[in-house]
Amino acid sequence: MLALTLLAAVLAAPGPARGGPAAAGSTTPPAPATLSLSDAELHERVQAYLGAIDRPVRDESWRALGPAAIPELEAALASDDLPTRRASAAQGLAAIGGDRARTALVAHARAEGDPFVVRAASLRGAARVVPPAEAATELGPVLTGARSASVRAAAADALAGTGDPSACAAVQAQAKREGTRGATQYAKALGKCR
Amino acid sequence: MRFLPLAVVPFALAFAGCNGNSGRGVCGCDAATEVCLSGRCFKVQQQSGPVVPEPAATPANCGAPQQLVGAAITTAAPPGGGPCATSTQPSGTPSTTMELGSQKVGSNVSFQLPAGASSFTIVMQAENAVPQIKLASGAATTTIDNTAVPLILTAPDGSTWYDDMVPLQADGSTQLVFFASNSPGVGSLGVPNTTASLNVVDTKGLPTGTWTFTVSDYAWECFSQTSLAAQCGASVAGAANFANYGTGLYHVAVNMNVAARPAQGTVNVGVYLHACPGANYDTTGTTCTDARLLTAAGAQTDPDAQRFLQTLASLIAGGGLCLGQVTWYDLPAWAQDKWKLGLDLDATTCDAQLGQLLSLSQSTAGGQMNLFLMPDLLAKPQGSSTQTVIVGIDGTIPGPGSFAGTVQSGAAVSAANLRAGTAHCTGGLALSSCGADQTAYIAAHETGHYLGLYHTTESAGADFDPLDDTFQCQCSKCLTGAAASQCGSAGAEVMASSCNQSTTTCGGGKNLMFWLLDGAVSQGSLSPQQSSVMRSSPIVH
Repeated sequence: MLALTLLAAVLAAPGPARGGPAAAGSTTPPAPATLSLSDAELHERVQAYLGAIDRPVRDESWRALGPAAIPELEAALASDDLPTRRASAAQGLAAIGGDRARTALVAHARAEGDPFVVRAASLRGAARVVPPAEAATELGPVLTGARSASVRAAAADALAGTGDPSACAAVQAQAKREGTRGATQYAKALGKCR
Repeated sequence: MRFLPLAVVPFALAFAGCNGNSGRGVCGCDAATEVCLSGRCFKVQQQSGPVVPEPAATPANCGAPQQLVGAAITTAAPPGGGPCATSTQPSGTPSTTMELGSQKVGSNVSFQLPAGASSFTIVMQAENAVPQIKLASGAATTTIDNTAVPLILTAPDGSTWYDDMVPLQADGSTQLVFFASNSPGVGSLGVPNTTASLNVVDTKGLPTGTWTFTVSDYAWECFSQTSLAAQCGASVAGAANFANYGTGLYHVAVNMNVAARPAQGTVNVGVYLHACPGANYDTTGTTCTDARLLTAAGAQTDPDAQRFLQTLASLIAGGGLCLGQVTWYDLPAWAQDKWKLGLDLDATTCDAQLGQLLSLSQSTAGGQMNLFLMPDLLAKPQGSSTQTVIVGIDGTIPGPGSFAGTVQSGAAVSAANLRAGTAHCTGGLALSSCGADQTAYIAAHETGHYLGLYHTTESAGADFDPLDDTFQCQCSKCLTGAAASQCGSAGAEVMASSCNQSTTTCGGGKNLMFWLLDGAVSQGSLSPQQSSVMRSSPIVH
């Protein structure tokens, strides 16, 4: 049973389901809101987080980097780096938030030329930083107009996650337009809107 | 107990180039004043001890793997809702597997380890077990997976090799067996997997005769151990749930390697393909718009798949293993459709998507490592309500040996990068820019987990693998400035670049099993003991 107490620290698996016991019983002091890092340290941390393997980076870790990390994350998201690293940059931007992060995330959510994982991560991130009441306006064009059905489905999922009535109305309307395929691909999103 | 107590920190002045070895006094560097790191000589500032080369396993000398197209997978889609599936799977190595049948939690079961055996893995497949338990800490209650793990493992001479109620020691390398995995549904315990037990095997051999272990899971521990009453007893679980904690039933078996550990091992690999790894579909959602589909039939002529395989083989060879037979499989149509946008790793219990995916792994003679290349992997970080991308996940550490088709029989790897950066995939390893190389690195890392390896250093720089020839990266010793002030707090995180000082306490950043991949640091290196653990796996021959 004592293995329980080490689960969070040594598991190769992500998520709260595998980290629960240690979190529940932990006496580890909380992390500060923002670290005071040199430029080099900041760069080191950003690059390290983009290279996480089987453990998702916590929002607190991104937030601890503070707004100073936004330019590097913005650049990483817009770069020709590997898609999963760009997607991780989107998560970092969403966790830190702010207007500049919002602009970058919405832009890449809408960027037809970006890989799916980058657009999907940008959609998830944008849905976090855009006020819920504005989500349908900002991301609705992706929901209805993205050329790829998979991106439209990702937009539906992100919009549904905001819980905003207008966003959910847009998701429900798009699901109808998608027909029988929509019923399957939008099931998760529609479930969130119930 | 790490084997060198002192450290030296290099300061960043590059001098004459040296060859690919690392360490002090090698590759042309001045032994008294310089250290070779990443092919360059650096002046060193003496602090508390020497910079030393990280011990490296003897690489395997391998031929090209044999590539095959696997038979179509006919496993039907799991029904939605309803009870959890509890079917148990057969061993891929029946002649060296001791089947111990259905056993209730709390049962003491025994098996005979023959003379000359070099390793064994206990595998417990749930036939009936609660999927999760409740755990209290102060006023908070959380739900965790019901990990299956033997309670006590006893050697023929009566000595205890593992007791799940005893706290893990700070230095896991001195324990005979180390376990710190999350393994609901199917639990595995491998021996040897620490420095101490490798030493036993290498000096006098594993004790032969009757070994005994107690079939158990976390629910049973909560049910049977009064010391855990406040943490997970009846008052926490509720009377009705708690009654079920004592009724778990597992199909129990022991995979054994009955001969000496091979000096150079061979492992077969099954690679399961999603045809549309980039998840790019047309406007109808039915046609993949990737430049070409990724299929089993086409994999042998697909340059990205072949680069992936070449790099995987190279990384594995660094640990003394060769790829033997590589079988490419197409995921069944229902799975391709279900996970066309990615795998949801947060779906729980009976709808656990990772378990459903890994259950598609195919049984082969001798067993194999099963790698599933998926368009995307999504998981919620701790404390977040939004999912994020991760690039790899293994079922359990170790995996369930030669038992394919279980919910823990393999690993999933993101294929989102596979076709990216192809212009950089022409020369040597290019982890930063060649997507196929990075995908292969992740696959090799997850294979390491399946074969029994833990992260050399965990993210906080406070937990380490149970091997004393892998360099640790201790947060308080390796970080500086504001980052160092976080050591011991929830914000502590060690980076590969801080863990690349080639000292026993600030090293390991380039190891395949470091907790993250850094294109400028990661080399995929493996130590001799890591190689020994991998070569002790029942699927290595």
